[in-house]
Amino acid sequence: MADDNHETVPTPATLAQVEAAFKALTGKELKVIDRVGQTLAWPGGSAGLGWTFEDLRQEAQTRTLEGTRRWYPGEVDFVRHLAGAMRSIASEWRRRGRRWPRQLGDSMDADTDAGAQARGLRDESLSAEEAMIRREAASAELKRLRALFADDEGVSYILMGIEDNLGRAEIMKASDMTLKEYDAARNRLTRATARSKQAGGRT
Amino acid sequence: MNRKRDPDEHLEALYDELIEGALSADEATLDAMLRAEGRDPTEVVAGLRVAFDTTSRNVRTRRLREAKAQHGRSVSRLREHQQALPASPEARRGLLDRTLRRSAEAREALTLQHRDFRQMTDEDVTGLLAQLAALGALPPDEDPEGSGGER
Repeated sequence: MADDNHETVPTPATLAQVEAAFKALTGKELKVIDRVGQTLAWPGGSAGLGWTFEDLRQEAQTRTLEGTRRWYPGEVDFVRHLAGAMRSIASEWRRRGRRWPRQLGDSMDADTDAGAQARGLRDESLSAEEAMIRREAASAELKRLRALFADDEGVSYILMGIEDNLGRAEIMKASDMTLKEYDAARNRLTRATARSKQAGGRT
Repeated sequence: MNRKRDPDEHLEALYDELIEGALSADEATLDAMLRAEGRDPTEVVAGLRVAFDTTSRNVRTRRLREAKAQHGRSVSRLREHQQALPASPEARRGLLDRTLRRSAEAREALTLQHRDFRQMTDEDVTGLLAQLAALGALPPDEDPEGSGGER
């Protein structure tokens, strides 16, 4: 009997497809990747817990080529895949308080805790003190952005709305912003975030 | 009423929103952002192409480079063991003979490769002894200089 509810299983890209996708990245796509990576960079300050866009880019590419972070071409385009990979790596490093030294496990299944444990990597989960440092760093960055944009109504609404768990449409509606105004405010915020990191400032 | 996010969640959600902005931005906006940061869009693109190519090459050749390094380590280990073997070919053959008499396992492995030990060259004997030494299969009380000759 035919299964009407048959779902197609997503197929991960082959190594050849991944390599071809890297080579085929256009100038615009490379600029998008740069922008995403600059946004996610984290200076880390004196605690030495930071990473650069280059760290994120290299790690995302390596995991994709090694297949520990798989790309499903039928599900998501390649640039979005790379952005998602950098996003989850940055989040993982923030959660662990620092990035894993790659030399400890060159082909590690770094997207999973199980993979790290299987390779005997030390547990870099945040201690209570490190978690506090991280929370303070996040607070400091938000405080800096709020101060920087105190006179910018659009950006202030975005910051406030995200804090209140609102989606984009809700923020726009509640603040009477058009899509164009919202995008412009978000771009100002993006520029401010990246600038502080390039200058090596504490975020 | 929506629950207010803590600073950590707030920042993560903010980054998600900024990433969405980057993904949907047009090229002119991306260029303007780069220029505002004092960066040349053409140079950024060229630099990224080189960086992606370099990482691809490094990942592709990693297995080979690791295998080469491993081979180098094995060769140096064998060389070290070779230096500790008896000086004369006769003493080395004697040592091999005594080792094989003590180890049935080594004898069996060797018989598969060399049906007739007498046809082995001096180089074969030295290489084999070095491998056995690396495996820790030489008799523990063996005099490396082979001065005792046949026992």
